[in-house]
Order: sequence, then structure tokens, then C-alpha cells
Amino acid sequence: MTTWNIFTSKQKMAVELAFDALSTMDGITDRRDTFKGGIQRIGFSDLYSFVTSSDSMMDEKLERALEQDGRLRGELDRLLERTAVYRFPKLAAASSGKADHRGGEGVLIRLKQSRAEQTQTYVIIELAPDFPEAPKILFLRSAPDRYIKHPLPEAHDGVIQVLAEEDSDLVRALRKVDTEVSLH
Amino acid sequence: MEGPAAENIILEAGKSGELISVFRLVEETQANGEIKFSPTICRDLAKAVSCRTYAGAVLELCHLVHVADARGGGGGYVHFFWGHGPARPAGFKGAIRNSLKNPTWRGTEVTVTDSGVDIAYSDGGFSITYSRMPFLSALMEFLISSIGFGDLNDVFAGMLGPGISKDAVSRCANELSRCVYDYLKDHLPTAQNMRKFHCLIGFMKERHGVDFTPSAIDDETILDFWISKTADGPAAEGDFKTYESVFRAFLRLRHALEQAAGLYALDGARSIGANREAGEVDPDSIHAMVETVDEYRSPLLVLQEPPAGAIKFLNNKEMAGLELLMDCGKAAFDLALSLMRCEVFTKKQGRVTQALRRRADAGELRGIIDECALVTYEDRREEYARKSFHMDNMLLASLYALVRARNEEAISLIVALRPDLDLRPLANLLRIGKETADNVVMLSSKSVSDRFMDMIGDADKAGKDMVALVADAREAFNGVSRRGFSAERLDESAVVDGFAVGGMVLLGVKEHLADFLRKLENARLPYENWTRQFDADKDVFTKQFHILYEGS
Repeated sequence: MTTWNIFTSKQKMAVELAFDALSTMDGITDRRDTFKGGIQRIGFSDLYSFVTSSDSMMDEKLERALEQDGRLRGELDRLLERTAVYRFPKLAAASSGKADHRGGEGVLIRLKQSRAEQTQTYVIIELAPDFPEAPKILFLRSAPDRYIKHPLPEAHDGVIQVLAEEDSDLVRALRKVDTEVSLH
Repeated sequence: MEGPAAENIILEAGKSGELISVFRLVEETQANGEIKFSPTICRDLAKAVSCRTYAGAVLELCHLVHVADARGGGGGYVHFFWGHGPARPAGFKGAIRNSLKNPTWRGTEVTVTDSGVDIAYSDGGFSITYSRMPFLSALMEFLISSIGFGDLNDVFAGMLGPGISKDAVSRCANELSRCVYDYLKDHLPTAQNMRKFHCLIGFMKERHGVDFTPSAIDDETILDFWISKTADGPAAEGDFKTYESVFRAFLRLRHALEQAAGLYALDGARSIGANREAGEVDPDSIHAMVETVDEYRSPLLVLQEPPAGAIKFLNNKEMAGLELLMDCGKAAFDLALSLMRCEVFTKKQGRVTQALRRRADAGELRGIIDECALVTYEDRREEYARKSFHMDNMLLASLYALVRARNEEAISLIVALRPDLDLRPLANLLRIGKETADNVVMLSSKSVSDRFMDMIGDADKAGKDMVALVADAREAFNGVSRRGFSAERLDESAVVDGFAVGGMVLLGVKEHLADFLRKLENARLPYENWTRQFDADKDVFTKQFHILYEGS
């Protein structure tokens, strides 16, 4: 039987490193409550699902995490940038401080008050025939930690139309000139 | 007890909350409502990180990202890795094949084969198999959760788009490996593990002399070490407060010593340098040692994933009750009493720490400590015996499923379940080709196995014992109401594959448990039997918990 004192220095180092690796494995794969890391995190998969799936809406957990975690906001911004079908350029400040349309290459967003119901507004997205693909989601970022996601209906003849209340988050954010807008 | 003092008692040194939470995130990641990465993939990832053998995988990942960015549609590699459901080879294969006609960009020559992708750069080629992609996807999830999307994206930016050379991808991989190294430097508990290691070695030398062997790590040593390390009461060091942490540390030391002794026997320590930081250590050698130690654990993981996962052989509670035993491997037989102490007394120690967390009053705390075991050793032994019986029943039920499906693994199960079964009635009927010996039954031949299946239910041909076994198997199958055990589903190939793979894996787990039960039966204990041993140990643990958590 091999004893500790006849181990070579290399073997002793191997014992030490194997002990380190096995102990680390035990630690990081331990699922018992007492060894929990404590922080329940939002994963990148959650962000991806939020950005790309029409069904996945902002919930309380994500909202709170975005409020508290600057890195998470940065990741979401990067992901929005990376996966956007189109990102609208920033608007120049209008004298009124309000915007009623945003134009880009092959796409235009207009806000139009409903004639039938004055408290409601149409958000109309017009796509040029050569616009690469019909967007499914409209994303707005009206403040550093304020994200608005709005699933879009199908386009008809290159036009997508959404009816919203004038004082809804969607319309108010679109009217703000410094809101960042992207289509996904 | 209040404030920091209580926290000091609870927290165990050497556990990085950040790293644990990242791993949990990876393990719990869902895609399309399912767990994205299999338990084996997650365990392999943990091994790669713990052994620092991630560099090769990082290089593979970078090549895959390069291809995936071309094939991932508008979102590039992001869609490729996150847009295709659970991480399975077939999913990635489908994603690559579907995007062939509409790549995001063109430039790098990519050939899609049945087994993976071959990338032809201007300065050389690189291949990645589909079977490797789930692991690379888990590595990506780990990197994005640890290093972050921003930094990762910045590194990848240097190797996306057309005209990229193989060398450029290698440079990005090196940069990424450096990022991983920097992250792990801050979060791997290496310093704490080294401190623990030297403490254990010091104790062994003091107790057994410098010529101690792995087998010198015995039940008495482990218990004495824990008592000595908790003698200072609430002020005791954080490394060894729980009995389980002491047991696991000695277990791992024993495993490491045995593995290194193997290296010595083969004179194969050449690749192990004496200085990790100077790059003299070959991490692959350490990885191989860890892989060997981990062999006993892997069957439980295999049972949870396809194809065996289609059958609920063991539920979560049954699985959890076997984890420590399987982690121990053969060391469980030499450290049977320590393992039983761990199973019986550490759950209660967990309750004590929970009580401290919620700042329970002194009376409640004392009550929890005085009743420091939820079950006795005998209870625990009976629990193991029940699990063994349950597994026998599951194997019998699996046999029926395999016989019904005429699957060859039925023969292996029959031999394993009834090694003494008289197969002579079948011998004459199963002989094919030229005979070399009168008593040879060529069970490995496909045609023989087909004939075997034809005769298995016929008492005149297979013998009464065989027919009785199949009848028992049918009864066992019909008596189980768990996922997969449904006669209507026995025509599904996924279910039959589950029984074939899972049955053999379960057999290995069951044999290990049966060996352990025999060991418990014949164990030489300091006291005359398990009942007396429990009474004596309960006094020891109660006293030590009072010292540790109350100061006296």
C-alpha cells in the first residue's frame, strides 16, 4: 500500500489538486438550502425569452431585477440591439417636447387620435415593401430602467395598427422624444 | 444568538455564493418549458470548471459561435444558442440544416455532415460534432451568466463575419479563456480548499505518522477530527463546522490519495508538475482523476435524462437518498459508520442552522439539539433495504417491458436478476452453427436472442423457472403506476430504449446498494450492534452540538 511519505512531490501535488477539484465540485453542485448562494438571478435565457417571445411579458421579478441591477439592464440593451429588426434613430428635441411620428429606413411610426373615441390613439407602423421582415414586438425604453414591450398584430398590406388609450404607457412613451424605440 | 455571531456559525468557508448561483442558473435554465441542459451536461461543466480544463472547450465554442453567427438568422449566434429549445444534438443539427439556405452572412466555407459541421478557414479547418454542441451551449450559458453578455460579445466581435481566419478565432478563444481564468480566480474557493487540505494532512500525520495510507482515513479519525474542530464552540473555524463537511473533506482526501497512488503504481505522474501557477500541472490528469472518482455518481444522472428519463425508476426523494452513497463509491464500504452518521445526524444539524438563521430562542434551539436525530441507524438501514427492494421490483418490471418489446437487453437482465436460473432447457434449442462445446449457449447472437424471445414464455421449452420469472415480471410491471410503466406505451421505441438503458444503469446502482447493505450487516462497530451504536453516537452528537451552538 502506498503511504504518504513515499509519494513524490508531484503525486502530493496531484492529491492536492484533485482534492481541490473534488471539493469545488461538491460545493458548486450542492443543492441543499443551507448552501444556497442566496441570490435568485434572472438568467440570460429569461432576457432572451422576454425579448423574442410574444408570450413572455414583463413580470414583477424581472421589473424589480431591472430596477436594481445595472448590469442586467446593460445586457438587455445589448440583446435588444443585437436582435432588433429595426432600431429607430433618436429624435431631435421638438419645440413641444413631444413626438407624433418617427421615421426610419423603410419604416414609419405614426400616432393618430381616434375620431370615434378621443381618449384613444392609433399607433400605426407602416413598412416599405422591401422591409426585411414583419416585426412581432415593439420595444420602448423611456428611462434607463423603464422598458415597455408591446406584442404587435400581423401586418396587413405593410401596415400594423394598434389601438391604445391616449394615457397608456405605450402612447406616452412614444410621444417622448428621448424614448428609444426598436422593432423585433 | 444574534447578528454576525450567528452568521459566523452558519456559513461554511470555501463556498462561493456567486459561483453556486451561476451554476444553479445554468442547471435551472429552461427552454420551451423544459430544463435546457441535462444533469450529465451540467456535471461535466462543473468538472471542467473545477479542474480548469475549459480551454479546449472554449476554443470549440468560439468556432461554433463563428458558424452559429452565420446560421442563426438576424440575431446571429444569440438565436442559434437560445432559440432552439432544450440543448440536444438533434436541435442543433436541425438549426444548422434549416438555416443553410438563408445564412446571415456568407464567407466561411461550412460543410454540414451527418455528425456535425466542418469549417474550412483560409488557414486550416475545424470540426464540431452535434453531440458536443449541448455541452458547448451549457458552457455558453455559464460564460454569459458569469462574465456577462457585454464582455462576451466584445470578445466574439473579433471573430464574426466573413473573412475570419482560424488563427483569429484561436486568438479570441485565448482572450476568452483569460476572462474565464480571471473570473474563476476571484470565485473558485481554491485558497479555502488548500487550507482544508493542509489541515487534514496535518491531522493525519499527527495521528498516524507520515506513513499513513488512504485506509487510515477511517470512522474514528473522521469523528475525532470533527470533535476537535468544533471544541471551540461558536468560535470554531468555518471550514469544519458541520459533520458532513468533515466527512466529505476526508472522503475527497481519500479519493484523491487513492487516485494518486494509482498514478504512482503506473509511474504515470510524469505530466503532473509541482507548480500549478507555473503551468507545470496538466489539468487533464486531474480531470481524469476526478472523472474516475465521479463514476459512481453518474448512473443517477443517466437515469434522469433521455432515454432512461422517460421511465421514472426513482423519484426525487429516492434519488436524493442515494446521492451520498453513490458519491462515496467503494469508500462507502470502509466508511460505512461515517456515512450512516452523516445520513442520520447532519439533517438535524441543518435544522439547527436554520433555527439560528431565523433567530430561534435558546429554548427552541436546545430542544432541536436534544432531539438531534430524526431517524436511527436501524431506521436508515431499513430505508436502504426498502430502496433495494424497490429497485429489484423496478428491474423485474423493466424485464417485462423488454421481453414484450423483444429487446436483447432482456437477456442481460435475466442473467443479472437470476444468475442461478437453469438455462439448460434452452441450450439445445438455441444452438446454432458449428458447436464447439456441448454446454455453450451463444446468447450474444442476434438470431439466438430472437429464438430466445420466441421461447421465453413456453414452459416446455424455456423451463418452468423462466416462465415463472416472466410471470413475476409481468405482475411487477402491472403493479407500478409511474411514468413509463404503461402497457399501452410499450410499442414506443423511446420507452423501450428507456427501459433498456435505464434497466442496466439501475442494475449497477442496485448492486452498489446491495454491497453496502451487506457491509452494514457485517460491519464491525465500536459498539455491539447498530442500536447500541446509535445510542452512543447520539450522546456524542448532542454534546457536540451543544458545544458548537451554545458554547457548552
